[in-house]
Amino acid sequence: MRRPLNILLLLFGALLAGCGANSYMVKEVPYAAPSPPGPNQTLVYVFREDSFQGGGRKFAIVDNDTVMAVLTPGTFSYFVVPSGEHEIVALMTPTPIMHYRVTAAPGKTVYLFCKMGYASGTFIEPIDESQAKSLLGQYRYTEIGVKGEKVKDFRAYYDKLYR
Amino acid sequence: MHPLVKSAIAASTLLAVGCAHQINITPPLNTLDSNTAKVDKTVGYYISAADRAKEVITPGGGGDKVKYLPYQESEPALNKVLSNRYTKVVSIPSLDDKQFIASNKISYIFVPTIETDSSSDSAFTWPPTKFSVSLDCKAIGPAGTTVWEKKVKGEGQATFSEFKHDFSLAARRASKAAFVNLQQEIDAAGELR
Repeated sequence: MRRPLNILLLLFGALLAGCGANSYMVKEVPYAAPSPPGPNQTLVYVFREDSFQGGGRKFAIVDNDTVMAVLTPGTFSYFVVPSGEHEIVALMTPTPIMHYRVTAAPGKTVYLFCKMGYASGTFIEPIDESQAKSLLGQYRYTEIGVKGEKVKDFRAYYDKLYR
Repeated sequence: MHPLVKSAIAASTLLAVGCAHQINITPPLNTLDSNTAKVDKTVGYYISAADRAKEVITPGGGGDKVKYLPYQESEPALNKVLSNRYTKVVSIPSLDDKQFIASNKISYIFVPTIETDSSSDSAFTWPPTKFSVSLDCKAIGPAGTTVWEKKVKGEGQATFSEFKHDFSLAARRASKAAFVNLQQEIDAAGELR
């Protein structure tokens, strides 16, 4: 094979590997409803819009500085955090592309929807329980095998952005 | 006409017309935290169903536009600003619902009017680099008369290196500034204590 063709194939392979990288060992598993949050906890659900835009890229859901989930189009996950302020970020490595500041909600469940469409926008918005319940039946649940990985402190980053 | 030519014309028409990208103008609510002293009163705010559903389209960059729901997306900020000042805040279903207003012992009803504009100095990226929010807010007393009215403004700017992490950044900065200014006006208003 000629050298330029080799290089092209290598580059293409690297691109494919990048798109399909599964460094957090994300997998789709059957959804089981979690226990309600404790009095000093908040249960956070995050859904990712089922859209074509950016569909080849997973994004990590980060709580302040910790990876909590990984989502692909049309999937969701959940996690429990101590009640307080949490910067929830969608991180399409290496770039955070959207964020939402969860404020203190002790004993409550917060539902967040990551919009990711050419026309629908690229931002996280809170949705109500009835909308979330409807999505639970349509979207697929994901879990990650590598939990608690630390990344940049996005809470400090977005605080600075809005100061 | 050749199909390729037709496609090219269609594509260039779309490019010329541009499109509207959805953004969200709700500022992060933690940016509206306030240490103001609370007034022990229940107040309400009124946003009509038509205003809540109202979508506004203003210019973005590169010939594109941005669209958003100024009233619906400002509601959490308005609620936050009023909650910083008063012990209880409720959404009023109708200004004519005297029974609801009386039974909830509502002292004032705040009614906002919101105007927005945006622009961009970029030819290559669509998110606005400048955004403005003009917020005219009046308070109606129990007798149904306007007891207070103020107009505040907020301006927001964002560069590419900033808005690549939040396409709505200029809008949210403007919205935040407008509601911070509204908070100051409400806190300073002797007639609203």
